[in-house]
Amino acid sequence: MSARGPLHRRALRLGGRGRRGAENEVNEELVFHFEALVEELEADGMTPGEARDEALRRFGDVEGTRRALARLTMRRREREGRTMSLDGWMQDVRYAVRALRKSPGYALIVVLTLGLGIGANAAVFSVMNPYFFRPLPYVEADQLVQVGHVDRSSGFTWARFSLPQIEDYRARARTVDAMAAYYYGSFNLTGPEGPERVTASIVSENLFDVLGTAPLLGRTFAAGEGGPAGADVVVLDHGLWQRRWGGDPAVVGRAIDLDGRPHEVIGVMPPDFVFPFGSVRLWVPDRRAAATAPREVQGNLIIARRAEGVSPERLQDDLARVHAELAAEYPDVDGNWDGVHTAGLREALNFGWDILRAGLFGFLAAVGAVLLIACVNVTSLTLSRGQSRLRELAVRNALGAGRGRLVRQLVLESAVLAVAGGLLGLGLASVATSGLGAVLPEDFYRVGDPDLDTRVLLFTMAVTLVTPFVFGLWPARATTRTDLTTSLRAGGSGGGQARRVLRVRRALVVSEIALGVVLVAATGLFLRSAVELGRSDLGLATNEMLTAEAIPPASDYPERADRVAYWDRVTEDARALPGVRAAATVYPLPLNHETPRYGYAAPGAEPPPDADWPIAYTLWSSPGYLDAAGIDLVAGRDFLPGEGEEEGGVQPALVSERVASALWPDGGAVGRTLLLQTSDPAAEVRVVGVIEDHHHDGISRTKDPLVYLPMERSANRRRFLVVRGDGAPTAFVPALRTAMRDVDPDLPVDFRPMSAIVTENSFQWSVSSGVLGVFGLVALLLAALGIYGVVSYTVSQRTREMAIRMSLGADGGVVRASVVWESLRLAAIGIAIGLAGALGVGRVVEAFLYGVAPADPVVLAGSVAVFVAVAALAAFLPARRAARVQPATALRAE
Amino acid sequence: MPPGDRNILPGTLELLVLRALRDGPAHGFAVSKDIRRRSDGVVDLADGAIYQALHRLENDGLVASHWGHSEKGKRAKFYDLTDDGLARLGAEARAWHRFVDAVAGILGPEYAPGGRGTGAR
Repeated sequence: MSARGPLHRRALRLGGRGRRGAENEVNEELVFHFEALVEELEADGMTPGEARDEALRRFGDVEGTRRALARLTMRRREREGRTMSLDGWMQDVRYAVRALRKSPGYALIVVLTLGLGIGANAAVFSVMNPYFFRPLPYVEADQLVQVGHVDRSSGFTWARFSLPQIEDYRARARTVDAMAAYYYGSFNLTGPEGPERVTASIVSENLFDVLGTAPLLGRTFAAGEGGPAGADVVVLDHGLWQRRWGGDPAVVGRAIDLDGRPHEVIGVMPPDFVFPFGSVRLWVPDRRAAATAPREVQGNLIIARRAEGVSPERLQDDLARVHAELAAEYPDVDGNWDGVHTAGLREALNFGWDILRAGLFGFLAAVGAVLLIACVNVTSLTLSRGQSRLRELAVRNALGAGRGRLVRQLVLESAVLAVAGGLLGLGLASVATSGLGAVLPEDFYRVGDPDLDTRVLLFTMAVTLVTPFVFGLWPARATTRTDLTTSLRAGGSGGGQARRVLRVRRALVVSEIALGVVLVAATGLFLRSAVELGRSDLGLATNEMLTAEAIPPASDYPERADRVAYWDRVTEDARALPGVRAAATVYPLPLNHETPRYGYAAPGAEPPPDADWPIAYTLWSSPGYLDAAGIDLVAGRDFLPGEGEEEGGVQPALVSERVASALWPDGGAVGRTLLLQTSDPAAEVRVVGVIEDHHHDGISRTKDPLVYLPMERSANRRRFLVVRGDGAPTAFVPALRTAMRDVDPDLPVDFRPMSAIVTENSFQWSVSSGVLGVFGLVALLLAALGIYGVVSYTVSQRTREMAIRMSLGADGGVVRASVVWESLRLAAIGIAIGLAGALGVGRVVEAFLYGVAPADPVVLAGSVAVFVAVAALAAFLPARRAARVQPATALRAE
Repeated sequence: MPPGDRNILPGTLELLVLRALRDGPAHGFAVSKDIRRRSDGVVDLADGAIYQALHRLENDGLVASHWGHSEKGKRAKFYDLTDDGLARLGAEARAWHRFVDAVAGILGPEYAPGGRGTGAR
């Protein structure tokens, strides 16, 4: 078998293109015919001349035949040019599958590795999809914006509007098609199906027109149904309709009781409709009169639809102009805000936009790293498989397949594996995300559940199709770069080439370890955050507290005294339950992220008029709450019953140590007065007690400054009863429910142990460490496999060297140590690079950590230790094999 | 004029080429040799005609070709029967035998091989 220079090259191009190409091919075929025939005739005894004459005679019309054959060949090529390419691809795919069947172990490992990598990416993307990518369920949603007042001093961008303000914006804005207003709250939904508190949105009658979403059943609000002369009508959410009425269409037209007042159901929204967030179950028109509403009561958010051809910037400028006008006209109301802010609905409606975006894109980066590690491993495997196939490739090369064609074939094999891995990954992702929709919190705005949809399929396909180029192209080029003819003759794997490939595989392992260290370190940081959080003392008896939330409706409790009486009665009954040690009410609940903040100062020491006052979180509690929540008094006393009932005068207050020491560093806070900006001018309150610092609004790194006011001063109908007793908090639920039903059978109550609220608050860290932990483990496993592969390959290449060393007297221990040492050297380089990366990542995620530094020495040392151990372990098996080499056998085999 | 074209019936050339390829892939030279050998040299076809037949059959999809190496290691164009080609060979062979039988029937027993009408041997 030989490939003769020019002839060979010409033939590889199949004779070239066009007429000349066809003639070349025909010539080559006929030259072979004549050479073979002449040779045979000479062998039969003819002279060269006689043989040539006889061959020509037997052929007939040489020129005519040559022309006819060229014409036929041309025609065939033209036709094949159209169909051949697809056929060629199919043939190549079939060949690839056949070739892969010959190494099922390799194929299986690659498909599993890629399946894990692609599956993790598809799973994370499916979770991101409803938050960031799936289209909003409104018509031309990109024209919709939410408008908010900006309060620069607090950095708050979604402060609300009063009805008169909204009327002004409607009248003056020139770039807006339509404007709708909404706020949200809750209703007690009662009826034969039982009492239930449902979250609702109270909306301007044109809201559904502005959003452009049609109802599934019935209709949405008509003009005139809002306002004081409007109608008691309600539109239902699909989920509530299914759950409470079993999807009965006859509910439309029926009346349901909201806070004791009958409302006619006029429509049901389609299942994918969500506004302004997932837990909103029904919509009622806003019945207040805009004309007589006070300008100061700013409680509505605005949704605006941009006019045709208006850019978002122009809309923003236009609304800013309106705000400037209004600020000049109403300096005490509109003038208090620093401006207006607009943003697309997807971002504006999602309370957790920033943290979700950071978290989920962070996860995507992490799974991207896992996939990269997977690809690195597969690259390494593909390289070594290429080395063992040099002979096969050389044969195909000799049979006329050029290098480009061989590369294409090898990449195609990789692509076949990637597609199989992609399908596996899609299956894994769909299993991993199934049922997740029911678990994910509804309050973060999302469109539907994390199901597989076209977008997820396209993403997975794109990832799948990129991978073979990441892991297959380079090995294919490296493998075919070898002088294939040489390797065919030598019959083995070319020595220089093998060394080059080994160098690259080492570099791949180093990068794999580096990526793995980064992932494991990130996992460690979040894990430590979660642990710190569990260990941290919130200053509350979180494991002993049961909370019960209720909102006595205005229909049944018209006067404040009625509500006070209800809560007093319920608190008394709770205290009477066996095992209960303390019961009291509080608003808002600890860790509920809704505590109002007010400026505070000592009288006579107020900051200058223009400066901002220091801020304290302010809450309301009834006597006995300190006991019920396990908060220690440092000085003074708790509130006394009835203490806050007197109108006017100086009200009593409790302050946390932080506030007390800020105002009176020398102590003696009890009995002093402080100013609190709950009203204008600031109200004066007298400190009756100082309590130890604790968390109330949420879990942050520092304990918030707190001011408690007596419960009687709260205008809010909503309160939380907190009960603390012996034993598990949930054990009190049945008795407490009965007691509260006895007081009011129609009032819905939500029971939650405080520990569940703490868990919800630490969700971010527990989920992050859990998800990253899985990724980190996969990365660790892949890195271990990578190290094992390279080290055992090195050992197999160095068998002869080891044999010589051992026959020269080196003992097994020394050989073993040298192999493990080699692996540790690789690991050391990877770990060094990885540590640098981990420090960088630590800085990026710093804001999301709790109680742990971004360069935490324990985490970093742990990650290093894990990878040193993995490198040593992965090298151990090959090292043992190396030490068992029998010098005589090994040398003979060479 | 090339020899051979006149001494066989129309369509027979393709039949013979298909038959020569039935036992596996072969280059044009081998096809020519195979036909010569099987007919004991009686059927003397021009090699040019054989090549034209091969190319026509290839264009009709009855034969496929690829470049490979001969027994002596030289590059040669190999032809192989496609499934269609194999089916066509069967059909053409049956048609040929029907034709031969029909002609034999017309000629009658005395002109049968070895019969009196064929003349003394």
